[in-house]
Amino acid sequence: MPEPRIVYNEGYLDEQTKRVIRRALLKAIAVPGFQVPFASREVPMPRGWGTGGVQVTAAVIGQSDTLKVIDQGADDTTNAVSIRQFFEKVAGSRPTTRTDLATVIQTRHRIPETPLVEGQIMVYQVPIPEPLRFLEPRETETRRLHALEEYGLMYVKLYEDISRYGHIAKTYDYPVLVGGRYVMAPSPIPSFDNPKLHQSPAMHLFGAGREKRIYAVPAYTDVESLGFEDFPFEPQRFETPCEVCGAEGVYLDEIVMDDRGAVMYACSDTDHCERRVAERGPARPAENKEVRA
Amino acid sequence: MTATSTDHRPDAAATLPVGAILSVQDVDKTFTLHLQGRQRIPVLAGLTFDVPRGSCVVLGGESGAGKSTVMKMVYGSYGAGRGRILLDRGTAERPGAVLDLATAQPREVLAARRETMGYVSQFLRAVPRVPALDVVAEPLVERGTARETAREKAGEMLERLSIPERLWTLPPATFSGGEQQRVNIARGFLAERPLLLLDEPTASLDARNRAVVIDLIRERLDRGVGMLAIFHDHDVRDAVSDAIVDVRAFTPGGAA
Amino acid sequence: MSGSLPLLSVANAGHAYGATFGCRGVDFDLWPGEVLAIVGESGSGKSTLLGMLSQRLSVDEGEIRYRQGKELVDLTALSERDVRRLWRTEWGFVHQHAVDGLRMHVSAGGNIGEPLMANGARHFGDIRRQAEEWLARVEIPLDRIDDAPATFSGGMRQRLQIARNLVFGPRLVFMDEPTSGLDVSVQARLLDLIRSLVADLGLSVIIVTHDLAVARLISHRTLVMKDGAVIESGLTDRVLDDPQAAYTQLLVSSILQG
Repeated sequence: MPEPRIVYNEGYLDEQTKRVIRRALLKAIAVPGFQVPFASREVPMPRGWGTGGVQVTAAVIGQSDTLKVIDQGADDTTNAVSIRQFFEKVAGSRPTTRTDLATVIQTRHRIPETPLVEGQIMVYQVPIPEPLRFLEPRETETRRLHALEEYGLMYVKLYEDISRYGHIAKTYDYPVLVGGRYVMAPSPIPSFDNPKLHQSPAMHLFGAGREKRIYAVPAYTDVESLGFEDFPFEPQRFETPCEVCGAEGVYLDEIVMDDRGAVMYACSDTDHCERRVAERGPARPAENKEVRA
Repeated sequence: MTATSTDHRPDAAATLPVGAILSVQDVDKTFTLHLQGRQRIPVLAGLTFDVPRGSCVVLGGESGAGKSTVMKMVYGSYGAGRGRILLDRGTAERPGAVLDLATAQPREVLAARRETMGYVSQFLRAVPRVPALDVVAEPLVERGTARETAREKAGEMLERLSIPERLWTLPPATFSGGEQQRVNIARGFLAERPLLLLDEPTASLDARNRAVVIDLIRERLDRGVGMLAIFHDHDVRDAVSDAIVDVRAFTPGGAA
Repeated sequence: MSGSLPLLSVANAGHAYGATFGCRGVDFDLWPGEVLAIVGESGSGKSTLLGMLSQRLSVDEGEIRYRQGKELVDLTALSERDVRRLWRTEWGFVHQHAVDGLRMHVSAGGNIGEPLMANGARHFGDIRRQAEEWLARVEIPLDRIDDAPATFSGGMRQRLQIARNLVFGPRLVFMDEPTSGLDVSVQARLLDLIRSLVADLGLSVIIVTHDLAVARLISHRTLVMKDGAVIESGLTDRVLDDPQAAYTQLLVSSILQG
């Protein structure tokens, strides 16, 4: 095979850039939930496709790492596969689909079902890092609000939901209070996953490439989802088990089966589902609800 | 810096005569009409009189002599050029408190109007949309009376002045001149204050209502209220006045 | 009354735009329960004065002190955090245009509830109940509680602004021409509302207006401004009935007689 025409630095980004990002990460870890601005670089994918997550991963990954990449819980989507292969090539990391074997997990929009352990790093792809953005469009003002701990506006949004729908309607990117100080957008993970952040043994790093912000939740940090005294936060609940592996209390994807509206519900976390089936066989037909027409 | 300061010469301690609720001492008033070439119009000079408690002092003199000006200076709507306008603001807690209305701070004048001085003017200036009953009850409510009690008393007063109940919930701006006058009177007489200023209170009233007003005045005088009044109507004046101060005696004209 | 402190004490205060002073040499004290009108024509400096008093513009000369507890505190010595807290807990500001003082796409209830939530209210039922009380007080129909002010008329928007500014029980409310641009009958209704709220709540109000009738209707005292200076001040009825300064006489005589 001919020599490659381009030789990449380890992790694709140059060393100076990695230092920039690591400094931002250190600040972020020192002040949990605080959005640290950073000089976001070009990576080989357009903005909006996870460039923030990729930059954070590039700054922390090494040859000794095992990398899992998921996209809404699945390891096998095009983008997840691309990113995993990219890092295999530029960082020499070992790829895996198994949550329990990964040292670094880059994710879009889900936290895996398998509980995380100390030493693991979750890297989140973040579209809009500012939880107040849609209420207060001015960056100058939102920075002030965070600095002065003035979060009334966030509660206005929750109030509006309850007035309009009778309950808090936000089911993803549900705002959280980190370490009792900063209100943070946990990226568009379903609110179902929010409780996993609280006192987690793993480290959670958030990268927004287009918006140029990095923030973090270090291990064993309090993360509380916002709510009212009489309308507290309630994570989504799934009443039925996965129709493939039978797991209960997991986040389910709705899968359209045919043109007549038949659907089935299966684990969004493909790794979790596959391993369960491998261990105990597929869900017994009796465990399934009828395929809904 | 406030631009206009009226010339108040410092005096030796001014005193309020015993038994007087109001003492006007050596007051001058000149209007300067800047828009008419800074024309100065002296209206009063050396105005001096007292209003003893329980008596009704009437300002006399023909139209234009300055009677309304005197009334407005006492009430604070006009500034005084020189001299003192002393009001007895003494209470059980603050005996001997005297306010010089000529030099008083706006909030002191406002407090005096609320607690010590009532004013029945010729024209009813009422806030739009407020029902007549509440217009009348306002002075009592301002002084802390519960609104419902104040309204009851207001109703009694309006009844006495022959304002039918069906009008009580309407804003007085829609009333006839005589009806507005009676609302004014009701408001002025409802809360009892030691000094009452009456500026032509019976001008638009018929004989029967004039008689009611005379009764009201007498009742108050008997209770020790002092009054300063302008009456166009000779009958009323003769019925209630204890003294007449002819304002023409204080018109600056000829030698000072 | 003597021996007690004013709520706001302004001494020789002025604000400069570059080399020119927008207003200068302003002196007055404001006491609890007083309504002070600042009147003048365009360019008189009245809006500059209001901006300076409310700390939106810098105090470039003189001093503005505000009573906190038993002391008068120099406002310029306060940190931004403290000034912002004042805005949430003790001061209100009613803008001339409701769009500047409301969140136009948040519901009426949310607009009124926001100051409460900003001050730590975390019980939805309570917040909503207080919003309902205030809507009733400013005569906005209760069934509009979930509608956004973008759908309200001008008069209703101003009334909502007032509710939002009073719900947290401020001591001092600044108003910048709150009735201009509204129909006459709507103005009357709004002023009447302000009057009764001031009386009921014992508020102090500083209201800027070019309309002397507004000043007469709701204020106890009036400052008349021209070219950045206060040229006359006193009891409102005294200033309007017996104006001493030439300019005040001109203003008063210019009121259109209906």
